[in-house]
Amino acid sequence: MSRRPTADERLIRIVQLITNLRGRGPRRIEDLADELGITPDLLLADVHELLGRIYYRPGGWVEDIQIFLEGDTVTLPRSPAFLRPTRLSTLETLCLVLALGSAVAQSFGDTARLEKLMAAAQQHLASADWTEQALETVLTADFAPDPVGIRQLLIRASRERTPCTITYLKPGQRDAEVRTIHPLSLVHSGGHWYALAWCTLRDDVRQFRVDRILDGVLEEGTFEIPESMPLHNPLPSYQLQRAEGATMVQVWYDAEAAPWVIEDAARRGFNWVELPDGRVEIVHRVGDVAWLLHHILSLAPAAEVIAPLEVRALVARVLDSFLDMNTGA
Amino acid sequence: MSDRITKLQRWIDLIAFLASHRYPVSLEQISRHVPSYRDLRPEDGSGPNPSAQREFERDKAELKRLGIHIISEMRVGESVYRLSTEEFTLPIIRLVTEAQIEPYGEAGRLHHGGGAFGLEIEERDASIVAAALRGLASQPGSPLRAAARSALRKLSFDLPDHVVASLLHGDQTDTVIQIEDPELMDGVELMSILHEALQYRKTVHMLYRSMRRGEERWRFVDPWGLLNEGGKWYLIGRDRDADALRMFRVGRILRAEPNHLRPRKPDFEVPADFRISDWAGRHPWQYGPSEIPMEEVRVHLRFPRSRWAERNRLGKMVLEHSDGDQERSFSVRDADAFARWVLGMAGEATILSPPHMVTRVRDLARTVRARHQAVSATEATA
Repeated sequence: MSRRPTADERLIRIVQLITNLRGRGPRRIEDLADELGITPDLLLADVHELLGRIYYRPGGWVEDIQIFLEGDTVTLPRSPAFLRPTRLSTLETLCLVLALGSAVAQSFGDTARLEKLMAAAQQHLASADWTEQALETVLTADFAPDPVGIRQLLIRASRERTPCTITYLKPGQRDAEVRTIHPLSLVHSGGHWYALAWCTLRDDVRQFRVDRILDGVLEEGTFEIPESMPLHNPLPSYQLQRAEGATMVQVWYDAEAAPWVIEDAARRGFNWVELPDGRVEIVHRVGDVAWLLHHILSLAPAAEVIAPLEVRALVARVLDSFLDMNTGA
Repeated sequence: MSDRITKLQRWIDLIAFLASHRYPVSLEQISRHVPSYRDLRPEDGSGPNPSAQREFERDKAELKRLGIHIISEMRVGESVYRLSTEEFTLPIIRLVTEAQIEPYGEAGRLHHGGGAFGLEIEERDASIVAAALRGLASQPGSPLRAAARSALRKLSFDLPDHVVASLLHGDQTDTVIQIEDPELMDGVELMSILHEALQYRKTVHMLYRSMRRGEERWRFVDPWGLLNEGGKWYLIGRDRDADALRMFRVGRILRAEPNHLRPRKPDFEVPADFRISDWAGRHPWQYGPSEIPMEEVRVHLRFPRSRWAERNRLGKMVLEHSDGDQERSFSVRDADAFARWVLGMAGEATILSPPHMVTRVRDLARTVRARHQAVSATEATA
């Protein structure tokens, strides 16, 4: 489904090209392309579009845009237009408003001030064509609730390298755990926020899903980040979404649930086997049996633990207990 | 090199011509200096050409949408045109420290220095805005990536190089990271098509894989909105065959073609009361055909699971017990999805009412229990 860039997209690029190039002397194509966030081929295509105008423009028209391409450099000595960037287009304004809205929703700043800044941006930075209606077409922000400000606390802890004690409640577990962690980064993946942190209890790096952190408090002092820590090269998303471990658990999924299971497995990079009767088998490397229990029950009745037997027995025991508590009338 | 003048060249010629004049210009002047508009006022004196006039008006409208505003005025009974500098160029943006700025007024803090119109933004706000824009620009598959990058570049035009580098690329010590999702990586082209159809109100003919029905089928859909939820993109649109509003996961759209007929005319209108935000933040148990009414289900949540529900605003609290347990009320449309969610909490949640939901969860638990009854799976299937 390849698609050629539209005239709109190319004009926006050319406006930026002129604004960035004008009066700055010869620039290397690769450097300029990098600065503009496009490929050198795209940049060259745009330059040729401007150069192509000499074939039909009347000669000696001194007010025109002048552009020269020599070797691997491009120069723009004169342009009557685009001395400054144009105001934000409808889409660019939409991005700015969504970005500010997201910052407000995620409590990444002083909410009241950001809201006023958003109003100022719409009034003074947007083009005349901007309408609020554009906001009603695309929504791309994570508005996961964070009433106690955990994300902000973790960002602060990771930036200032301050230890943090959190109360963490895993799915399928009865009690919350209190852990002191050294937050390294806050990662957004697959629609969830995770704190990638050194856990002082496990003496290892662990991921904590932020929506499962019930509260947190900054501790005294600072921590050091070991050089081997993957601060800017975090784990792939599927590994973030589930702790892996040494226990291999074989699970069968019913044929009715198979399309969803396969879709999810493909997305996370898991292997699966389609059985002759339409069921699907996945062998999970499980680091936390509570996760597996939650997984089986959340897919009820379509998932069944096949092996090992002790995990099958655990599922049965948990359900016995559940049914004892929910005896009904 | 082709001697045919492209639409892009026509636009550049027009902008360059208007920008080089401080005063408004007439259609006749445009016709003389911008080759593509030669027919606006033919030199043979045959009078204005309506088709060229229409093309000029269309160009004006399209450029306006891109933020390039051509103003038309009447002078001595004749239409004249100029580029609106104030509405066309970005005001000068200056970063200031907290000490230098008062809290933003109703319309932000404006300054007028050396005749230039400008906007002052506090440094820490600028870094928050830049980080949020970088987040949008780095979302794989997002239809807004290019626009977010472009906005960021424009907004940093007046700032010192070292500040620009930090705003555009983030600080090396930036600890907030976005991770790419493979589903979005595969859908970049598709998202461009859908977003363009959304912008121009064009119906899309798309091949969609329905998980519930287990089929792939072509549908005609009027796109009303795009929503990123839980890391995945969804298209909200009216399915013309079903004559109903539907939510389609973009990752399940296998092919899509916008209606190429009448490219400048919208195929449909989106009702004024449509709000994409009404579709955001839904839970699995809130989906389903709108014909099925929502039902209030009351659940007892044990402490500390009750705190987790409260922290994530799941349901509404009805009653809090002295031991921290809570009774919370949920609006439910898909009873099975809700029963699975409650069961997934492995005894930390119990449905109190209505009775049929109590029975449903218990039956579900019995079924799963029966499947795990035997010591081994072989015994269970024997």
